[in-house]
Amino acid sequence: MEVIDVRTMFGSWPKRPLELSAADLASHLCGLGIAQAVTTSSMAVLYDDAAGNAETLAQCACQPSLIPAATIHPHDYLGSEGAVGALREQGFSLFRLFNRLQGFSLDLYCLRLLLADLARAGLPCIVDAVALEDAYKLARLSRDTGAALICTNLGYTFEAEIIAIAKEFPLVYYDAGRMTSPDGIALFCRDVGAHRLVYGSDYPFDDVLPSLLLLQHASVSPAELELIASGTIRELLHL
Amino acid sequence: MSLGMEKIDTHVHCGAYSVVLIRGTGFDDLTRMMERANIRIACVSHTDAVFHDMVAGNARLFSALERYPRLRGYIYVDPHRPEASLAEIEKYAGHPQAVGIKSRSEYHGLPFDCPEYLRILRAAERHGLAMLHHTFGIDVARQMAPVMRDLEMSFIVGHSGGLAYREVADLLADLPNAYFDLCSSIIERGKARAIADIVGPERLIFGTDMNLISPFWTIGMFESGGFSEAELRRIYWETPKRVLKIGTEPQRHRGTEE
Repeated sequence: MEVIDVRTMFGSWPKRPLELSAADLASHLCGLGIAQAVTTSSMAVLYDDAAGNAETLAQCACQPSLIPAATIHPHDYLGSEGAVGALREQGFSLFRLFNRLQGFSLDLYCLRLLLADLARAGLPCIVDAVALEDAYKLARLSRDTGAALICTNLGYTFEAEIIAIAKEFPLVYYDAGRMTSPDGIALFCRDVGAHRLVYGSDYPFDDVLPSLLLLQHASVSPAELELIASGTIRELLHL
Repeated sequence: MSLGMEKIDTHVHCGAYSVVLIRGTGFDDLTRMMERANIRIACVSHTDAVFHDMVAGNARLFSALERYPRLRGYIYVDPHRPEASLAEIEKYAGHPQAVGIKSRSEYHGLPFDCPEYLRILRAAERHGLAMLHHTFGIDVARQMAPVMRDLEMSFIVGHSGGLAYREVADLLADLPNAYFDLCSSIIERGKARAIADIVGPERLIFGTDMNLISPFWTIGMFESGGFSEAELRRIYWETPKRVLKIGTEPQRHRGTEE
């Protein structure tokens, strides 16, 4: 089964003793059977999004298994400067916003503008749901802006909520790597479909095997498993 | 990878939850889940007892156990009802499938070192029962440490303190009767190895928190720890068997047992 991990990072993380090069990230994931991974440099998250995005692109160019995800902090965003279009031209095929790690609210108007620009550029965006109500906030943002959103950082308390939302909001996708209840992934596939699920590990913050084994042993068909593991994100990114 | 290794799961629930989307909440659902994860024996508390009604929940569990020879039972105890808890221990301690008591001091809003818990724990000690205690955060562990030091019984530190796993392992490391299960939503990289480095792999014990959480999630944590096959066998089988005094091998049943 080909697995594409949509939720990784490389670089230095001063809040924990984490130091991981892009090469080591690719090597570690390869050792676990993960074929490709969406990733971002920690520099873009903690220091300078422009310099960090350049670092992400440069490192991913050297690691064919890594797919670069750009980020922009909404506090640093002026739509008139055309940053989204420029990043697309540079080769980014998706964005990731670090609202949980950077601590910004999903209610920011700048965030809404940024997502609208991403929609116009045809770029999907990965965003964390920090609180349960964030799942619905993100769904409304996808509807209002037209942006395709991949909602990550879920947990077992989210499962009924995201199944209900997914039926009504077709532009939202979800990370199955945190749907930890025994029935969660299977119930989502039954009620919505595997074409709306992707897989993310949150490496290097978390171990990979818990989410990977959770996915591999979900009570779903091989075709559904293939979609979650790689098919859905392949289609979203036109890989 | 040791997925094929048979396991004794020391931290299991059966029954419904009001806060989570779960459909397969019965004993048959549990045994099917066990089969898939090579869990040969599961030590269970009933969610009715854990969250709502101790007496009714314990009755639901122990009235079903004899139909499920691969299951073992925890007697749930409620410190707000010490007399009833003592009666529950007397009622079920002699049950051939009883392995221990279980409680969640934070849920009840009473400290673990309160007189009510101490009475209950002394009764469990007299009956040779172990205890699985829900342990999230350092404050609970601080209440537990002096109590555990004074009792001749084994304690499973359920969830190993959650996000505070390093501090909790440090605090309880010198208590030889403290065993650490890893189950929780928190899967920080290197968690299993970090706890093992503090307390030794012989003090890790396999517990998954199913049916709340898929057992594969927690198995993934243990499999990430870089343990040898012998260490994993100890964590998955030998330590649970010894700590919970699971003596005779249950008859292997397949398929629906009801």
